[in-house]
Amino acid sequence: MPDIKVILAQDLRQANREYATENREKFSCLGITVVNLISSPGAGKTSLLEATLAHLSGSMAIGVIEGDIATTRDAARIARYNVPVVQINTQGACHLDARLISQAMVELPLEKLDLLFIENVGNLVCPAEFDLGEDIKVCILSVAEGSDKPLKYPLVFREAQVLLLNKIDLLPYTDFDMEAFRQDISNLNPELTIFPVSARTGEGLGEWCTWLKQQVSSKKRSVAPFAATV
Amino acid sequence: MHELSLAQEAVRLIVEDATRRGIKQVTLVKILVGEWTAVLPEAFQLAFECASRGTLAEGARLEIEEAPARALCSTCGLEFHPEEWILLCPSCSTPGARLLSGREMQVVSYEGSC
Repeated sequence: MPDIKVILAQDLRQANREYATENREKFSCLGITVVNLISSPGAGKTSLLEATLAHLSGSMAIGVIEGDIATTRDAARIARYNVPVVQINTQGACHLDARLISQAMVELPLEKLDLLFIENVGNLVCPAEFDLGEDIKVCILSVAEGSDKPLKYPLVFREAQVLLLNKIDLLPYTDFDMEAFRQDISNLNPELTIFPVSARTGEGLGEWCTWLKQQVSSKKRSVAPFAATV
Repeated sequence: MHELSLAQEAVRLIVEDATRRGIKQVTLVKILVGEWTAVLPEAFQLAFECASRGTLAEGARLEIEEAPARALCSTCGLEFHPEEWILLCPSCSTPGARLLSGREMQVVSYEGSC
């Protein structure tokens, strides 16, 4: 029995990257803007998504992929807004991966969509590692979690393009240090766009939704010349 | 924290390659994990044992090497071991240095018998 040594030198995220690239190409071809929502449990992902859907209702066609370890509770909440929604239950896994998205997306009327939200599993660590093929990673942090979180969970704050600082209606009742928070963010990721919002009162949602609309129309424009030649 | 899905991917890559080469039993697997990947070697070991059960990698010895984080300051050119993700240069205090290593997650090699 001869012994063999094999040098593989293969990245453990490679398979995920390949699925993510495929997803991204498909979304781009269809001109869909894809947003990956990442936060810890309870930061307000679903509530913010509901408020955003209500705000954007009628202005564009939106679909949602809901990721949770268990239950279809979030999908049921989202379905009330008359948008197509698919629930992924990861059965224990702490994050969504690109393969799960490629399986879930075929359940949506993709050719009709302008914007797709993917609500990741509530977790501030693992989802940041896995590209899903999205255009924009949006990190949601609620003020109740504390202003020290960017330095404690840095990867997601580095990877994200947008930070929704949620529950700002609670600011007077917490010790959230806004100045230190902004300083940490500017050191970690100076490009990060911050929208202070409250899903509960609606504060700041207008700015966030206006920004989203701009992203959707610029993505549409980027595929328009291609679409015209088909 | 996501050691199980990474271990499953490692087992998939090794089993696929070993099967193609006619290797019957994998005896040793070498993994490289960056300091800044939130992957715990102990958890990866356990996850690998679970993920390899019933495959030709079952029972293989696992060696996990940690790649230390290294960063390069874009202002003064110093290469240093960063303490935090703000990648602050210890010499000129510029934040946002370029990360050179520390994010690796790789199956480096494996050994087996035919």
